[in-house]
Amino acid sequence: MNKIGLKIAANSFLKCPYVTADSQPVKLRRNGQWYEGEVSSDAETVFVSVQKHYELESKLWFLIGIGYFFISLFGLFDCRWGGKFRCLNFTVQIKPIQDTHLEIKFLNFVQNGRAAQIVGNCAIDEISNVYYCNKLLRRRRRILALVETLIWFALIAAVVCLVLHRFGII
Amino acid sequence: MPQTELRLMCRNRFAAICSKISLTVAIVFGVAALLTVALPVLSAFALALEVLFKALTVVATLGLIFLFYPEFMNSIGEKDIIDTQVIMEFLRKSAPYVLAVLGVLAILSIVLFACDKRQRHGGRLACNIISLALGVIIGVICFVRIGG
Repeated sequence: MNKIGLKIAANSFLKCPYVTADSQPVKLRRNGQWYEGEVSSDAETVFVSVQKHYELESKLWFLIGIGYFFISLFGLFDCRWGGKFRCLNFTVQIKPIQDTHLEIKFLNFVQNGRAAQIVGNCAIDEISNVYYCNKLLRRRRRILALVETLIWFALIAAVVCLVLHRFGII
Repeated sequence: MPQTELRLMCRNRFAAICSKISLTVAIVFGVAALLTVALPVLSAFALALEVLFKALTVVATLGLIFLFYPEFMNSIGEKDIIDTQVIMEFLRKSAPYVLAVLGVLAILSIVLFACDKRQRHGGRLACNIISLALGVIIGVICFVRIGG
């Protein structure tokens, strides 16, 4: 069985990468600026992939978004979604040897630019290695923002009506 | 999208929201509680300054003032700049509930952040511990000043 040692240097954009080896998630632990993990495989070739996910990718994106809006007291204490929804498409095919070491360094984000530099002691074949902005997620965020704004208007209207009613104006 | 990843992200987001709410509540109530302690001290200080300035500027005409207003010195001590009773009443009514919610939210977010092994949440953990400590201070102030 071949062991593959993974070492990933994340940047400010990719703080917590989701790494898979042959579609199986790899457990990473942080060691300073590096994330380290280990994969064991008998296969001749292994596909290593790094992804960045967002909550809005889920099928229940609308419920999740609105749920957080209400939990965070109408968005007052909500966290930022990250407006540009920067994603990456990084997959490499490697032919592991007895003690393989892979070092992946992620670069600064450039639209449609190269995502990472990979160094290793085995044969590496890059399948995809590109940064991009996810337009679908951006559209979903805009829909959520619109709904949130409408809820705020409704809330303000309700409060105004209550106050006016209390003072006997309406 | 992997469900484990989604669950982790949702948990982290929930913890961050809890952390923000607890910290905000702690700061607002901390300031309110500290005002009840600090205001009498501030008003005493302001009173001292007032007396000092009056002594400096009015000393020349003090005799005249005493002629027309003999009770002037007695009236200085009766003045209060801000009525702390309103703040105390507000704290007395809401403190038990707010402190309970604050404690629960702070502890919940600390536990959730501590459970996340993939990311370090040192700053947020520190903020939560501070908000929890602030909650304890508010509790002590309320207990001492207002009587529970």
